[in-house]
Amino acid sequence: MTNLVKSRLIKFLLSLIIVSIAVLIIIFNLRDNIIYFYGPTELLKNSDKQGQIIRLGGLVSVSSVQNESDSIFYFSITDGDNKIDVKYEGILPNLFAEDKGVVVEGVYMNDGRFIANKVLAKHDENYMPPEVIETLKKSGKWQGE
Amino acid sequence: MYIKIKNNHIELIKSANPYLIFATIFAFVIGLYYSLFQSPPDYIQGDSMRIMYIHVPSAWFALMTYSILAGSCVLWFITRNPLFNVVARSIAQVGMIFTLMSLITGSIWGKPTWGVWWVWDARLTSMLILFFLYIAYIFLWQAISNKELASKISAALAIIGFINIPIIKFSVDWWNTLHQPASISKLSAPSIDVSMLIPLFIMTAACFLFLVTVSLIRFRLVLIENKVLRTSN
Amino acid sequence: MNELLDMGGYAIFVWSSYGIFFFSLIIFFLINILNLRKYEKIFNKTKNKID
Repeated sequence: MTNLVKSRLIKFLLSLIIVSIAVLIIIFNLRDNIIYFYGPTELLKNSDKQGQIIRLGGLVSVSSVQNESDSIFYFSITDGDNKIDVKYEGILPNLFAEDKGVVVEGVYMNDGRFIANKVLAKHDENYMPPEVIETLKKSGKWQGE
Repeated sequence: MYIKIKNNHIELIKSANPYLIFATIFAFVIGLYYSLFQSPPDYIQGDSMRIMYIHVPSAWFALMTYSILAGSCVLWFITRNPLFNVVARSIAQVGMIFTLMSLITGSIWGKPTWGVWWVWDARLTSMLILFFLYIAYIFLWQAISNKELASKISAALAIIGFINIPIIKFSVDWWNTLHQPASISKLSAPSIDVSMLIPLFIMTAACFLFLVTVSLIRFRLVLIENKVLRTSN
Repeated sequence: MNELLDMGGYAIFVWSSYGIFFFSLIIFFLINILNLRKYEKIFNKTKNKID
């Protein structure tokens, strides 16, 4: 290695360290803003989020979905520990189902309810053909629903 | 500084070209047969999950190409061997196309699955930034007429932009995102059924062949472009 | 055959994404091949002049 190459290498490594430290600081400070949605437990801990437009995500609780009319729905979102009741007026996405992932956008009211104006179905990382799910269910190995 | 590449190496790349094109087409035909006919639909998403077979390889190679791009820019910065600069310029545009394809196909998948075309979550946003990084790299080099300076500035951009790659990779683990976490990882068994892994891997191989084929064509193009620039000055 | 075209009701999404994907890849490939031809021609001309 020539001296020129060595000095370039040292300069490069130094600037790399400085840039990575800067980026780490930025990411650490942006943490709260990058989070796309909050879970029910996180939201219940942060009462300062009440009255704000935010997103809430989790699983739709089993047998919690009720519809008042064709377009007004009540359901609750759970993360296993806590639940938040949601009211939504509009059309639900096709993949919306009980015990499936969902992200809702709307206002977290002061009384602890959530008025949603947008519902997004959240998909999990599992990809399986229907037949495989059937056999898994029969043998009792299916961990899902 | 001139690039030292033996003429018979260029001839070798040239003669491999038709075979590579044939192999790419062959792999894509097999991949299409498997992904559209052979593989079963998903138990929740139905047939819309077939978009995965082109979306996931595109995203993988978008990240991989950028890593090679940043790596060769680092080597160029330190050694100033112009060969690394040529390699970086050969693969940048293929990476940009793969990034764009993963954004478009992901968006088309998002509409029936999530209910929206686009959301500003960490994964999607960082992927869009990657697309802009590719564009910035390509246009910076073209826009600056002093090519020595152009190489320096665009290489610096590519290296700094590399910080985006781990952010894309781990965004789904670090923050709550609408995008689901990785289905295939080294540490655990994939959460994709084997019947769906086969078309995914064939399509990945086909995309890799496409990446190699076009990169080698662009390698010859960039070399000859350099020669033309030099003789016309 | 109809079942394949219908894609379980997701026809527009599946076919448009595959269509855009392959169309873009082919166009991108052709642009680079044609560019290479163009530059090879220019290069051969300038080389002949020097010779």
